[in-house]
Amino acid sequence: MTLVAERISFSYGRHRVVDDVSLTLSSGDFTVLLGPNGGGKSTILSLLSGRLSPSSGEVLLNGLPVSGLPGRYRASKMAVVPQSSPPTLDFSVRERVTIGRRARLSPFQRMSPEDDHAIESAMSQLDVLEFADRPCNKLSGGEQQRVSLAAALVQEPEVLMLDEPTSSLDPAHVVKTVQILKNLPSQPAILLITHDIELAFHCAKHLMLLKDGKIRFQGPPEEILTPENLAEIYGCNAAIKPGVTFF
Amino acid sequence: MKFLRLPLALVLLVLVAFLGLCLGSYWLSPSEFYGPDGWHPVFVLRFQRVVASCTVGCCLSLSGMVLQAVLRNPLAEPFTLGLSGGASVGAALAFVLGFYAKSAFAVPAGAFLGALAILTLVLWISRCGKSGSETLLLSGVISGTIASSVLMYLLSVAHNEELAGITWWTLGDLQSTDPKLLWPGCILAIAAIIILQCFGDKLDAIALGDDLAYYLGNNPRRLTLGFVGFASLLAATTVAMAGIIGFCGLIVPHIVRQIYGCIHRKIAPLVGVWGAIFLVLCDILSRCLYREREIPIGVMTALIGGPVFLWLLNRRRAQ
Repeated sequence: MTLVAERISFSYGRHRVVDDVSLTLSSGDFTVLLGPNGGGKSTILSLLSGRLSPSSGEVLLNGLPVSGLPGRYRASKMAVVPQSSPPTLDFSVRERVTIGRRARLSPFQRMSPEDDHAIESAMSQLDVLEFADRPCNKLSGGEQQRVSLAAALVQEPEVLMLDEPTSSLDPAHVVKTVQILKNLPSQPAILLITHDIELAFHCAKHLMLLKDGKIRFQGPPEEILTPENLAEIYGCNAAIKPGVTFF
Repeated sequence: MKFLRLPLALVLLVLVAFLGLCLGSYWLSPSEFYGPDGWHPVFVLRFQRVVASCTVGCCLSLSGMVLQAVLRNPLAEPFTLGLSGGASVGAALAFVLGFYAKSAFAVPAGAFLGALAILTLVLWISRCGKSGSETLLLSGVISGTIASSVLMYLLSVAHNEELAGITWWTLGDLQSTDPKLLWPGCILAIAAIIILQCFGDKLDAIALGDDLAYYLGNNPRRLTLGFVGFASLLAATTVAMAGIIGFCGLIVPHIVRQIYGCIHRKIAPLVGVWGAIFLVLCDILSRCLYREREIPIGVMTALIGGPVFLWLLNRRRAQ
């Protein structure tokens, strides 16, 4: 499974948000996208998922334009965890995760024991089983993020894209989430957007530093996350401190 | 016990419907339903009325359920998009222009066309749902306000007899539902339950937001348009059958979701059946509470639905 973006650009009106970005995600990849607010990270995710169409360039999933893929096929190959927004209706945690699983099934298809098992397993992995019957919109931000992640994992995608999925999690759950993502048996291609430089350093196989819609630096995290590069991207002094870490 | 939910609701519906046949301005015992001269005339009238109540209650509740999901607003109801205003203008025009005297279908047809005209206007303003559910909701509120102004003007120029007709109709009226509309309405209600069971997953997805609906393999814009059009068709049909009946489409889906959960594939039949039960009960009360002159059904649903809704809100806040 390969997701390829070839020289994609996108503008909101006259404001160019993504400028000539190319990237490739293959099975087993763990790519992290870092950059300042408004740098175009979430727009890149929307372009890669086909939610937005690039003004130039194209996004291909296994050689096929992603925006033209049939919906159910797309949902079975690709899952996205957007920035958290709780549902307005009182969907329970179990219902929310079930909706993720049903995206793989046809409207007339019944849930099989394997589907039920996948739902239980995803909820158990993300520690959300204990409040499975509570409404999602009554949970804390971190709990909601874990539910969203469980709902994406239950799709068993081959490409998994996550937009700041750990921003509200406590350190223990950040570590656990990273371990889950790194050890997924299906080894999907993962694209993670985050502001957590330490998290990016420890979990990325490939790292991209983005500013003003352009990829400024990319490569292995230990080569890319230098004080000079970070100063250029964020405009302030920052460095990864070796030593005690959660990861 | 989960599998017994629908059969139990259906049994309750049959019991309530049976009560609806017996109760009214006077008690009609089951032995009187059929006599040597055939069906008792009162039974025939009450039977039509019970069928109309079931159909209208079912369609309104399903329409409310769909709109609450699509607009992602638990306070949405079939008339949130201004359909009641459009239908009222259509019906009022049929009265004021004198069509009601020429054909029994004039008022229902006027109401139906009025509701569809407002829906077209709402979709046009919101660029066919392109601008998101908030714009759709606002367009509905604005269109409804415009329609209300037109209705006020029509009321100001209507003669006494027409005025009484318009007023009675806007309060909801199950008594004068045209029998020819009953069976198409029934078929639509049953079809709606089946359709919403089949496409319940899509409704769940769109209820989570346009982005998530897309990531779950759907086209959010097409889904919004399809569901809003379908819900409006259901609401317009009920308006054509029985005038404006509020609250049923608001509180029934609300209560059913609180008891049975939010998965629309599972709750669609329950919402339909409980909507029918609610309206038949309201109709029985409207006939029995004040026997000299029955209370309009729209007034009764508001009198029962309003307090129930406030109780629900308080309960939610307490939780």
